[in-house]
Amino acid sequence: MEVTIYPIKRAARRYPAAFWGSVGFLAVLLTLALLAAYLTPYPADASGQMHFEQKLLPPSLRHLFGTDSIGRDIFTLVIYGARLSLISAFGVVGVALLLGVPLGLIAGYKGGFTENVIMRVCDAFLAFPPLLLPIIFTAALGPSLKNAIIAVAVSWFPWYVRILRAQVLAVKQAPYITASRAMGISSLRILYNHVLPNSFAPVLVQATLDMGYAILTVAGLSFIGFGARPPAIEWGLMITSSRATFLDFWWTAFFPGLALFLTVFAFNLSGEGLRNILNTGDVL
Amino acid sequence: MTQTLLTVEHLTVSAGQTPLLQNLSFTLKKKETLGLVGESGSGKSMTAWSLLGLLPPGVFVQSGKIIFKGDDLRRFSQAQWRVLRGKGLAMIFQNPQTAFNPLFTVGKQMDNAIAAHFDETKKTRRERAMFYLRQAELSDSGRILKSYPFQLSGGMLQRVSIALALSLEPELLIADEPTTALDATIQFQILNLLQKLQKQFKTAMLVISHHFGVVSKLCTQIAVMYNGRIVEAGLKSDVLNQPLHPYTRALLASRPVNLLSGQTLKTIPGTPPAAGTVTDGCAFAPRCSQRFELCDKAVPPELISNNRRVACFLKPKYDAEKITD
Repeated sequence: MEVTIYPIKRAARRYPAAFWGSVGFLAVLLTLALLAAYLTPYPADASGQMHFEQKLLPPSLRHLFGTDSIGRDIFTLVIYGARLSLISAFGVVGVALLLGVPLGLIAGYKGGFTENVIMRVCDAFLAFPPLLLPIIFTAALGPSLKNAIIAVAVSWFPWYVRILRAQVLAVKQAPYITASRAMGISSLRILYNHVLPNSFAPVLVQATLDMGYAILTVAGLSFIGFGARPPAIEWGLMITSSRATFLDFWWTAFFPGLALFLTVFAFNLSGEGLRNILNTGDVL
Repeated sequence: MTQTLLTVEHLTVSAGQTPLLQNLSFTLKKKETLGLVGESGSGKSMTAWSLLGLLPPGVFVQSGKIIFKGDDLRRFSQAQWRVLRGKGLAMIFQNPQTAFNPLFTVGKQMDNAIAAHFDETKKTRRERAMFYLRQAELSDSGRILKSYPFQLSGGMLQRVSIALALSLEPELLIADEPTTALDATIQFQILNLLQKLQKQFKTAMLVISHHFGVVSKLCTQIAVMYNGRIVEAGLKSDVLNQPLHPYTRALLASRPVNLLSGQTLKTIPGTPPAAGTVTDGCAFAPRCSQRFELCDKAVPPELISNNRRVACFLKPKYDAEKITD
């Protein structure tokens, strides 16, 4: 497969609204999350302050998204919740890449027995239903956001191993790999300089797409009590705690859910855009 | 005295039970140039790969010796191989467009290769690269270093690969079909360049080609290969003017150069055997116009005299004077 990287300008013209819109949304979300203390109206609410006198107020100018059952401003909580969601997105994908990329490179480049061992271990991981393995891991490690991230990452890394290995198998046949070997360049350097850059594009696309699913999965784990625990502020957790109220006070579940939806959607769109820009459509 | 640089002795290379190179022997002295000629599948490239220790998976050296500057390469460790490749033996490839990584500049790739062999500062490495690019007649060497492979033409890229190979100061340069992927006018320029640089740097050279023109321009010695064996070898003038093996004569007769207007191109009937075909007799016998009973029964032994080698049963019948076509 040949990877063509379009200059940014041309990419912007070819994939205008969706890609740049979603990247923009994520950038704004990241800024809000980082500067939550300055950009939210009631930062104290995020550190556990309660106002029972103003509980379950509907959305208004004072409280853009309304307030929850203990009177906290939901807008503030949603912005603070973005922190944990983004941490889980980057955490899960980061840890999974850290495990998957070296293993995929080695499996594809070395071949033979090494490859068989790595790939069979991956197959074993992939034999479990997607949410079951993280549940088993968090049950073993103890429920916390950190453990949820590790659990999801550990049950996902085999996907990266598989994608990268398939790419490496194709790239290592390239004449410039042989040429580098004929010039006496060491295997490690060849892997790092030639094999990895030429096989990474599909992994990058998959990783971006996976960020959305990572947020969903971690939120799902939090929802069923295996992820973040109160008083942490996390979107999945917010939806859980609104179970008792959302039938009468829709905003308590709607806004965390909307934030979750939009973020996952934006990650997906930017993954799609990246796929087009990096021309990896034939692989993924 | 010229010293022997490379000796290949009775080299047999196989894929499983299938022999790809059989009983191959040749020597190359310092500063000498040898051309390997043959059709596709005759084992020319496989010879180069065995010299570099880069045989494809499943292909291995079964017996024989490869001695480079007195060291038996078959006993080399990975680390020794890494030093040898590039600095001892450097290779120029058939298709320059694919011999470079598309994601990095030519300069970075040259720098990587130089850094692997020379303990030099970044600045000295750059000067080294620029020097050899200029030797390869690329005047705007600064711009070339900053270019990505797709920004350069095939001819320019082949000059860059030649510069890259020479910048590692190899003692033997292997050129595997160095001009096949280029168009005719560029081919000529590249051949002239290789000829000039070989004289200038006094590098020994092994040229692999299916083209007698290429080999005769660059080499002082020629070896003709057929089905994984050398069937005839000798000085260029001897092989071209007095070919002894029927295969060599048939090859020479089918060059387009021989064509007068209105003639049809002579060809050798039949097709070359698939790589690794094992025969009881001479592998060329089925296509040979002069075959007789013995040809199918035994593999002709190599007859060696006066720097001339030929593996054909007909040879004793010839006297040098009487050779006519």
